Amino acid sequence: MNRVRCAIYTRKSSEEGLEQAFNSLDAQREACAAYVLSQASEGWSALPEVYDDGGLSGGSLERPALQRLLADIAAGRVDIIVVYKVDRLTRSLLDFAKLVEVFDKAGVSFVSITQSFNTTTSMGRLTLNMLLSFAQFEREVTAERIRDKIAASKAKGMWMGGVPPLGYRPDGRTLEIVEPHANIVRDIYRRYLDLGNVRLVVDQLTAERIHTPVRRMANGRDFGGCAFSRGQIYAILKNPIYVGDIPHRDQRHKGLHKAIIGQDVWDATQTMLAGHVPGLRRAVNTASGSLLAGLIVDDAGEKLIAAHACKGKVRYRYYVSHSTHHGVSNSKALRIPAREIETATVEALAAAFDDPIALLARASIPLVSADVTRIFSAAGIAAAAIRCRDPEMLRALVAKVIVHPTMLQIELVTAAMAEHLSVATSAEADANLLLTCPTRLTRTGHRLRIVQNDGRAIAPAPPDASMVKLLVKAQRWWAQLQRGEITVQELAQADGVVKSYVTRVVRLAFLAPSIIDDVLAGRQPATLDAKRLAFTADLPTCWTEQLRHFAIDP
Amino acid sequence: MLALTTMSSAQLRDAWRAMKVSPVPLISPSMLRLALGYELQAQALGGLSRVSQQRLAQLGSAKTVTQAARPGTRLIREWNGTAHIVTIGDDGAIRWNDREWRSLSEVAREITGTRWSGPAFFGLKKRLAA
Repeated sequence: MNRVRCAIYTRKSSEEGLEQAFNSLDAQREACAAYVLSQASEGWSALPEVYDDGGLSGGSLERPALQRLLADIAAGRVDIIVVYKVDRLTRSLLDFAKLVEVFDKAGVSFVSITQSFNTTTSMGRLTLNMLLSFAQFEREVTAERIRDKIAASKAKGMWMGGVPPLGYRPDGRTLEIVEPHANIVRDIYRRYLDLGNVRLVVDQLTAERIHTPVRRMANGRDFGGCAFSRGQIYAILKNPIYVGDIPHRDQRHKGLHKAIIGQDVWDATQTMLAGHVPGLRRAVNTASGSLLAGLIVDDAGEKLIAAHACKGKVRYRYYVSHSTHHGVSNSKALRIPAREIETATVEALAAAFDDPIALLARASIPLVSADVTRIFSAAGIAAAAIRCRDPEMLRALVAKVIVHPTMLQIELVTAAMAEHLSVATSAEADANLLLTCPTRLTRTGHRLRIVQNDGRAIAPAPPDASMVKLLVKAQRWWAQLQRGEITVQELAQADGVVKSYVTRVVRLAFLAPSIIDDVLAGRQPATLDAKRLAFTADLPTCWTEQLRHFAIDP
Repeated sequence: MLALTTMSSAQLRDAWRAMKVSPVPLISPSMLRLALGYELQAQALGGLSRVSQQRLAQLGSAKTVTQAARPGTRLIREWNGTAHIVTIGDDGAIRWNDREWRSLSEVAREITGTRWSGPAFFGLKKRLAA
């Protein structure tokens, strides 16, 4: 006859009664052992190991004895698990499904001695699943009931347990003031109202060696006796218990306990705390704020919005037509790189300040000859500040920037300009002065760039890294090929690229020197990029033709 | 230049040999035509400037990077306890000791008495992190 090894598993949720000599766990175990004995004719025998989980809920599988049992099952030391009732094993349907899977894999079945069913049949499984659904329902209902009860109790102002706040000790369902501790709390509130700064309060308390009082927890452990931290002080200053309330989630109820501090102190403290919340960082403070945000419009008067895209840590800023940004497609929509148009604006403004006499004449402000030197020095300072992109100054000076296809118009605020030149405005001067700067918009791929009329980018852009890379590669490969020892095919193989790529790139070693100079200095035309360079179908041999091909004025 | 377009492969190689001492590169006739065209134009009009050549070589080796001395810059270098101040004029002219100099290296040589790279001496050339 086969020996069937039976493991008896017992569990109990609450710790009540566990200290008794014969507790519920023992009772479960005894009943199971008797059942195993009754099946001795079938070869059943109980294993000596004890799998007892006392005081652990059936809602989780994180139980030491259960984990031990599962390990033994995996090791093949168990044939049948015997439990008093199925919900001893688990109350969660999900966990049960997991357990059954483990059991099936190990060829282990289980027996509930007071509920008879057989998990090897489909009917048995259905019964079991229903049973467990109810077990889980019961568990959830219990949890809801407990939550409701806590909410109702708190609404009545009861203290529902936990570590009591400093200054109180639990007294049944309410709190009682511990006078020496309450004095510390009152002292903290007073100090905060005096100093208006939690950090200084902490410094003072530490300097005066006022420490958290030593208190004893329910489990007998002591805590406290160390310096107050800032977080603790904030927690004390914000705890509504001290004004006699009981908080519950985002509500506050009148508590049954006595307040430690008065309502007036509480109100003053909360006002002070709310006033000291750190402010938000303003756009003006950010390194890459959009200077012209809110000032820039297109020639139809439609606003351009400051927008940006991020790639890694790099922020690419643009000014985008309002309608496009809000999803309306428009063929005339603009999307201009912010740096270029800002540079154009800043340069135009600074240039205007470089010639202050002409600027004043245009604004019809009369000039007194004695002021000339002073005006020139003021204009120099102003121009320098503009070139440094002082955001406040620029926003004061510029009323509006209008982007036309062929030029940029800048409306300069006359009053602000006069102030920076330290002259008085005259009555006949216009409020705004119009500066124009000849530029045009060019499309490079899908990107719209603003370029100067000779086709070169306005902003002295750093050399295009990808184009420079191509030129360097071309020089390196051509130097290798020139030795006459290696074919293009071999070169491509050695560098892990295709032959046609090498062919296309090497041609760039035969570019006109002036094109190479331009690319290295970053003053190539806006239409020329790495793609155009590497993918030109037939590169002309003649340098003048090359220049014409890439639209560069010779 | 015009003759290049009609030359055969063999003729192109002969032309290369005639013009350059280097062996004929193992490349297609069309690329050899481009290369020859470049050499011819470089002989007639001058090739890549020394500055650009140096810059490409520097970028290729990726070990150092040299900043250009922009107009209006003042370069200060201490040497044996004296501070030497070189001004780059708005026209790009290099001024030191009330005199104009052709290059920073010339100034460096005058100060130290030995040959120095001017950009390196005045801190315009920086070693790139490995």
